[in-house]
Amino acid sequence: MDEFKLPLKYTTKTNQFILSLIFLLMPLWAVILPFTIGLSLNQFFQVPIILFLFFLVLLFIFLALVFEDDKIIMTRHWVSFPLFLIPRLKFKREFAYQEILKADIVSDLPNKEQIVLFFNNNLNLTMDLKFFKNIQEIEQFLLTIEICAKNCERSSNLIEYQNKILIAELKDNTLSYTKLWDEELNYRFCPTNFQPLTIGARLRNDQFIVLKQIAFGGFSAVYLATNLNKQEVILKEMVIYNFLTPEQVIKVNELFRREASILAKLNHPKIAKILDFFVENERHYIVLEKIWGENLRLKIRETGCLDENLIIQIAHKLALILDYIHGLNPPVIHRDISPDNIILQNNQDVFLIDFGSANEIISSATRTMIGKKAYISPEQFKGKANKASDLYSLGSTLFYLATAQEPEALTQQELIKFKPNCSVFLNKLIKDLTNLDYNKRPLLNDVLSKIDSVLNDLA
Amino acid sequence: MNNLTTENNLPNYKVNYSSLKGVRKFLRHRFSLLNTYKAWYTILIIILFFYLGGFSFIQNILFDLSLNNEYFTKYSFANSATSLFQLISYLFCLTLPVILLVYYLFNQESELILKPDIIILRYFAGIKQFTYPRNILIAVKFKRENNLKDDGEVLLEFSNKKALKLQLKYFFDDQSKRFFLDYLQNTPQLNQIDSGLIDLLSKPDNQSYTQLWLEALSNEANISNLTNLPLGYSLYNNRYTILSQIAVGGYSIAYLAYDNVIQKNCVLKEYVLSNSVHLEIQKKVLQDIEKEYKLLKDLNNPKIVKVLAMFVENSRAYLVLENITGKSLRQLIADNKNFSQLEVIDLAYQMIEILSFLHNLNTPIIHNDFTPENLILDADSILHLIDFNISNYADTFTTSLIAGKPSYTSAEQVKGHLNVQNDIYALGASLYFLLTNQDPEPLAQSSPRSINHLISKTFDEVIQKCTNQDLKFRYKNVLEIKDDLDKI
Repeated sequence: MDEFKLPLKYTTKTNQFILSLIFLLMPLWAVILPFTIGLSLNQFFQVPIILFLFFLVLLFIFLALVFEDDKIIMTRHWVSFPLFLIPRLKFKREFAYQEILKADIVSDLPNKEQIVLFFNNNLNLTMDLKFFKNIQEIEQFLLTIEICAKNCERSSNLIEYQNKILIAELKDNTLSYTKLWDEELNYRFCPTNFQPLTIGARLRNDQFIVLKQIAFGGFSAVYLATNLNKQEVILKEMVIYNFLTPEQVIKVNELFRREASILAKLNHPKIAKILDFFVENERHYIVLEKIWGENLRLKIRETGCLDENLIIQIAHKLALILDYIHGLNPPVIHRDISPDNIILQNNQDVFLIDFGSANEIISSATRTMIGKKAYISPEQFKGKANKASDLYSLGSTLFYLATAQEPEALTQQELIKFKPNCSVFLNKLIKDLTNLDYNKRPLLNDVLSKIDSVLNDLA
Repeated sequence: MNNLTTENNLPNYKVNYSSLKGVRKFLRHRFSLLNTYKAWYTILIIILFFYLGGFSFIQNILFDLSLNNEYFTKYSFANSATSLFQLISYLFCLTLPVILLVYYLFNQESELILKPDIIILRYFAGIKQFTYPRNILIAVKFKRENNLKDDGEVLLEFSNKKALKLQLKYFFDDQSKRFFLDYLQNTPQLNQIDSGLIDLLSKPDNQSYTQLWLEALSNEANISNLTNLPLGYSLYNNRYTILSQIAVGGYSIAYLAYDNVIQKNCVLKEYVLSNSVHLEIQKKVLQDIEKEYKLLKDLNNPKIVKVLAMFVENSRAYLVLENITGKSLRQLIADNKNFSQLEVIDLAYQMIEILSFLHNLNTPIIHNDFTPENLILDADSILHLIDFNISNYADTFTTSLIAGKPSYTSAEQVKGHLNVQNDIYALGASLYFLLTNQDPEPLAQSSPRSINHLISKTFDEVIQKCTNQDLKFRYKNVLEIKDDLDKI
């Protein structure tokens, strides 16, 4: 492991221009001119002034090399500043991190922000943000100070500025409340036992380019990517090669392929289409249509629980989708109905993204349960999912929509205990749907007709 | 620098020790930082000028000029001046290679090589070298410099009256310092090392963040990111060599590795922290892993796996755990071992001992993954608990994807409640597994006697009570189970 060394550019445009000029003209002023003058002077003075000029030339060269220094170098233990700054620092160039006592950011004029560093011995340094190459390097500079300078007291303005840069980079368009960010990160990103793809990674002969990592954890990852037509798609990646025998890997990949081809045949305007599926580098990928809009989990975290009318409408639309997939031959069980997988557009259109069948394959291959615990029905937990399992998940999801709280796993949900003024209808609906005994849950047709009549009454 | 060179098949341990650091730093600063082309451009111009007779060229021009100017004709070019020029130019051309040679030599890193039997200090790529046998090292003295920088002088004294002086500030990085410490601590005849030195040499716990961030900042991931570690791969400055992959969990992979410094096998648990652009994400994940590390570090029980170290490399976090030779209970069953009832009862006592230790600590630890995979039986039939994956930070991953092994997870655990009875449920399920060679039905009370009538009724009742779905009727603590087992 090499020593950490981070060079950052710090210079003004005029500085750079002048120096480049000097540098290009070096043959002229450094070599030709002095010797010419020297030779001429030699005529008059007969003194080997040339020798002096020879060293003068070397001096010029040395100065040129020294003054074109424009790098701040940061290593594990010290930071060194470019030479043109050192007069301000009493000719000290290198500072151990322990010597940095305080860091602050001031802005005298808008757009003229400056970082101020205070060192011991009453030294301080003001650095113009504009002299840095770009925002990323400013971030790196501040981050390194944050990590390595343990004695440094960072002002609240500085911390706020750093957070601003960070959020600007991490933010996706759907999340606007920064205080939710911490939890969001924890939710979406968990350790994995494989290395997810990085931004810019290419798959299938450059057919797909990864734009962003949306989530990862355990065996799987989700990315935003572009395809050949420059459209944005969702890539779901699953990695199970780690510990299965090669024969098992083939078998599991076959199961994936079969699932994906079944799902690819689904044709419903409100279900995200599977555009493609393939295996590459022993990882299984499903390419999904990107549906714009916020998923319900995020939406509710931002704006709180939904209005009952809306919830019932959403329930209706979801039930219709379930009716479609359950009605296929053979019936397709979703297995992962949860607020994460539902997108609400324009407060009325409901889309279902993502199926949980891949989870089931991984679950049985690894003997660990994959899936969001809060929405899984007991029989699905035992490995025996059926059509009614989707209804349980639907009921739990409705509970979440109504209370903005995650339902307790493997429990029959009683809305009225959390929202005393909810309607009798919604309470009963959720309670029936989340009955722990799947035989006692209502049939989808009943659910649909009940909701229909309620909606008609409201209209 | 990352070469593992061996002589006589003994693994070698190279520590980067840079005693000419000041000079090298300056040279590197000016000449090798991305600006090399400028420096070489300059030198090239000078060389060209001198070698191609630039002097004479200018001389001639001036001569021509002077011929046309009366004022100049008064003085003529002295021949001595010409030869002086030539002398200077030759001098310069000669000194240049000398300068380059000196630069090259000074640029070589010195090395402190710590071999199992000797210590070598090499300068100038081996031109100068000091060798000391390890077995005559009798004392380590330490003198601290000033309190501001992490600096000090270490004096290694040998029985042949020789001594080796090392400056701490020349140890290239924290890894090197740690290896040096491990090397000293594993030298049998050295009984006492200054605690001040130990402090300075051992990495404080939060170094893993620093390491992670600094690596990410300088974009240092340099192994193929898409595959797992290949066999023979070396980590942590050649300290650990991967021998084989032994297990994969929901969040991590476990490798069997060889520790070259203390010369024993160990287990490396690897968590991949995706090298996504955003360090915040990696930091959060790393925080949880550090929690596991801190949790394990303080436990001291021969039946529970010890954690030896933690480090970050190439966007992966590693926990170094002691290696326990033996097979897991699941492996044994898969290998067709049939446990007799007596053997299972003995194992039950051992399990109770382990759980009772964990549950009765000052801050009780609930394991949450007490399954046959995580229990290893060694050659002396002693049971060991490995893997604290989910443990007390179940709260962090509650809404996340992986819920554990269904057969061994109680309903309360799925709901996210932390309770010693979670472990009791898992214990009961594990006993069922041992007696019937199959996993129990999830979320259901288990009765092994229904499968195997030879099992005693009392034992069956014990297991039923462990896996009772109703918390009121399940055992409240492991010692109650012990009491009931005594009755069999």
